[in-house]
Amino acid sequence: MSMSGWPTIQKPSISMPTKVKDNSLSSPLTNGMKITRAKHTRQLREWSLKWNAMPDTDLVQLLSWYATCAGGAASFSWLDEFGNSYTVRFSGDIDHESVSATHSQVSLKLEEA
Amino acid sequence: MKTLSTAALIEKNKLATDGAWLFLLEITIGATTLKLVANNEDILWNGDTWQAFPFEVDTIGEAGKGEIPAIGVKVSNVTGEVQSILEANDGANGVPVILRVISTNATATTPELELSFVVESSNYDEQWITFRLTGANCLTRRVPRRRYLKNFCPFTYGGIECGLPAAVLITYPTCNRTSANCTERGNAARFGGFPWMPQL
Repeated sequence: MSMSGWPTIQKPSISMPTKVKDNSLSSPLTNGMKITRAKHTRQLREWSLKWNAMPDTDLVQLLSWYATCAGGAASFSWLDEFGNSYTVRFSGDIDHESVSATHSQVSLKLEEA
Repeated sequence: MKTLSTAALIEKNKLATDGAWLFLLEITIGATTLKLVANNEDILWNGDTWQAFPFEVDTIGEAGKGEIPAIGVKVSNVTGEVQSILEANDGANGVPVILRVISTNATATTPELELSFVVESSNYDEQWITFRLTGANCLTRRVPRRRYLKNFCPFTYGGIECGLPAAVLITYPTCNRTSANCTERGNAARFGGFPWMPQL
């Protein structure tokens, strides 16, 4: 079951690389051709979110949400840059580094649950 | 040798297809029937929703030496859901398991492959539950079902075969299953042992 509660923080910096994972199986033939088919019926996505200068108040909210989700354990609803809703979970660590007295550079990854 | 339907053969032999071959696993443990699909989303097949759940199936072989084939199936135990069902049902030994293979591009309501097994053993760690599945083996069944014992009653105390009245059960809450205990409770006519059987 997914949770709701992605914190109300500023949007990520404009570049948000999104990966749609290829779930096909492929077997090369000796003549250079390939036999291909789908392994599963759904293609999962992964988003790389990055903030060049996130206010520290937002960072506190984000880290609090990360703790609430126990890192990548719980899934939650999230809107992508086009307003599409996905059920996602954190994928790996949150990296943050101060860039000024009040702002930090933050990066994280979300994956479709 | 297993054979595939014509539609499945055409699907299998395509150089490129968007259809997926999916494993369906059906395990009936106690009152719970698990219908799982090794996929990344639930699917609807034959009127049932098959829940996307991580599981892996060992290679299924065919032996020609008279052995009873056995395979291993690993079901994810990260959530502990299946483990709790197993623990509530004494490990699920002997429960039926049906393994099916379907093609998402085939509209047939019969699976392309269907194999029936029973659980021979199961074990788990925090990551996986591993079932060892084998064909039903009549040689492992006890025949006759009951043992003939001279001075031991196999019936459940106070059960249907024992037939002891509730009032007597209150007076005598336990029984050591011997003929003497049965006589003491006035129930010798229903004693389940065979006291006149010669001692070997």
